[in-house]
Amino acid sequence: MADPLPLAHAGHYIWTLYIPPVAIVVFSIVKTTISERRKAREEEEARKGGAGKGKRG
Amino acid sequence: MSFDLLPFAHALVARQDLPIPAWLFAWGASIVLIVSFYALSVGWREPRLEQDTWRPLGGEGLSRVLLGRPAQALYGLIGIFLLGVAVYSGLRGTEAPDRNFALTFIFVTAWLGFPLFGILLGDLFRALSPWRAAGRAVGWCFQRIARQPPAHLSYPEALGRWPAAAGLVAFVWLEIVYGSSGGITVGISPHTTAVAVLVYTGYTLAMMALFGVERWCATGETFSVYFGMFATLGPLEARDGRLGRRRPLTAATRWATVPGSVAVVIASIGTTSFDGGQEGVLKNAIESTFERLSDTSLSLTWALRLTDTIYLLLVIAGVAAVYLVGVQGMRTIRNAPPARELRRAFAHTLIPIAFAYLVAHYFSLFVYQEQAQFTYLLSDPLGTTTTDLFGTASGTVNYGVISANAIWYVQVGALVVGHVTGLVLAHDRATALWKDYRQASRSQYWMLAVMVAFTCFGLYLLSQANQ
Repeated sequence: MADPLPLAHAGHYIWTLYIPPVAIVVFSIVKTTISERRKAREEEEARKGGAGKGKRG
Repeated sequence: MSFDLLPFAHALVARQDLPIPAWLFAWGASIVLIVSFYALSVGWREPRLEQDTWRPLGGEGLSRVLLGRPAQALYGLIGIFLLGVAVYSGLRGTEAPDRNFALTFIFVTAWLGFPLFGILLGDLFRALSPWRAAGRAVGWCFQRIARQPPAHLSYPEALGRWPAAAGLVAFVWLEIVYGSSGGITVGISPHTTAVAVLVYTGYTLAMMALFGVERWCATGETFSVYFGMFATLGPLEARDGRLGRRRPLTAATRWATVPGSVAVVIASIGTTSFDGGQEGVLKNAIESTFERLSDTSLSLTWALRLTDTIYLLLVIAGVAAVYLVGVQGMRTIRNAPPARELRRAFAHTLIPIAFAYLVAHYFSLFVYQEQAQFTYLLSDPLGTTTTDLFGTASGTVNYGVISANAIWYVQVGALVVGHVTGLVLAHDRATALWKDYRQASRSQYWMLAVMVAFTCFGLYLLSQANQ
C-alpha cells in the first residue's frame, strides 16, 4: 500500500488559501498600471516625433 | 456548554457543517466585490451621495411629540436610569458575569444595539445618552441661576475626534485586555465596569463643562462619536427640532471632515479584528510573547495585559497600513489631491466595513445575550436569584435558536454587504474628486484591493475563531 500523504499539518497553512484573491487583484492592478503608463509614454513619443517632422518640413 | 465564565468579548459558535470550505467563501466574496467594482465603473459616472437630501418627515405635530422638550427630557431620564441600574448592579450585584445586568447591558445591548439601530433608523444614542442629558440638565440649571449661559473654552480644532478614538481603544482595552487574568479569560468584572463608568462619567461631565455639551458630544465623547458614526448610514435624522429622512449613506459623506475621524473608524475595525484574532490567528504569537514577558519581573497578569496591549496596537496599526496602501494607490492617478486630503476624504468608506466586522464577530453573542437581557437579567439585575421583578427570572438562553451554519452565513453576508457598500461610497467620492469617471474608476483599483484584503482577512479571522 502506498504511503499516505503527510497532510497532518496541512491545516497550519490554510491561511495561504485566503491570499490568492488579494494577490490576483494586486497583480491585475500592477499589470494594468504598467501597460497604461507604457501606452501613455508611446503616445507622448509619437506626438513628439510628429511635431519634430513638422518642424523639419 | 458552561457559560459561567462568559467571555463577553467573543462571538459564540458551535461546530459547523458547511457545504464548501470556509476559504472558498472568501473567494466567492472577492468575486462579488470585483463584479460590483466593474458594475460601478460602468454604471455610476456621477456623484449621487454628496448632496444633502434631508427632508422633513411627517407634520410638525409628529416632530413636536417625538422631539419636543418633554420627549427629550423623557429620553434623557431613560438613559440616566438605565446607566444608573448598570452602575448599581455592578457595584452591588453578583460578580458572576453572566448573571449581572451591568456587563450584558453595557458590552452587548448598548455596544452592539446602538450601531444596529443607527444603521436601521438614525442616531438613537443622541436622544438616550445619559451624559448628554446630564450635561444639558446641569447647563439648564446654571442658566436659570446665573441668568446667562455657561462660558466655555474654545475647542482646539486640531484635536478633533482624537479623544473619542483614544476612548474607543481604551474601552475595548478595558473590556478584553484588562479583564484578562493570569491566562484565565474571565473578562472584566461587574464591579470594575461600574467603577470605570463612574470615572468616565466624571471625565465626560468635566469636558462638557469646559467645552460645551454639544461640542464635546460631537468631537470627544467616545460613545456619541462612535454610535453617531454608524448612524450616518441610517435614513432618519433630527434637525432643528424636526424629524426628517434622508437617502441612506448620504450623511456619511460629510462625517469625516473633523480631524481624528480616520482614527475612530480605524480603531473600530482594529479593535474588533484583535478581539476576533486573539483566540485564533494571534493565539500562538500572543502565547509566545507572554512566555517571554512572564520571565521578567512582571506579574503573570500584567505580562498578559502587556502582551495583549502590544498586539492590540499592532493590529490597529496593520489596519491603518492597509488603508494607507489604498490611499497611496489613489495618488498614482493624475490630478490626485494630496495624501492627507485623500485620507480624510475616503475615511467614511470604512464605516460600513466597521459595522460589517461588528456584525460578523458579535452577531451570535448578541442573539444569545439579548435573550438573557430580556429575561433573567431584566427580572434579577443584581443576580441575587431571589428577585423576580417581571416574572422572567427563570428564563434561560436558547442556544439552539440559530444554527452554527446560519451564523456563518450571516457573518459572510455581513462582510460582503459591508464591503460592497464601502466600494459604493468610495466610488461615489472618487467621481466627485475626479471629474473624469474613467480616472475616478482607475483611482479605486487600490481601494478594491483594500476591500478584498479586508474581506479575506475578516473571513479568515472568523474561520479560525470557529475552530
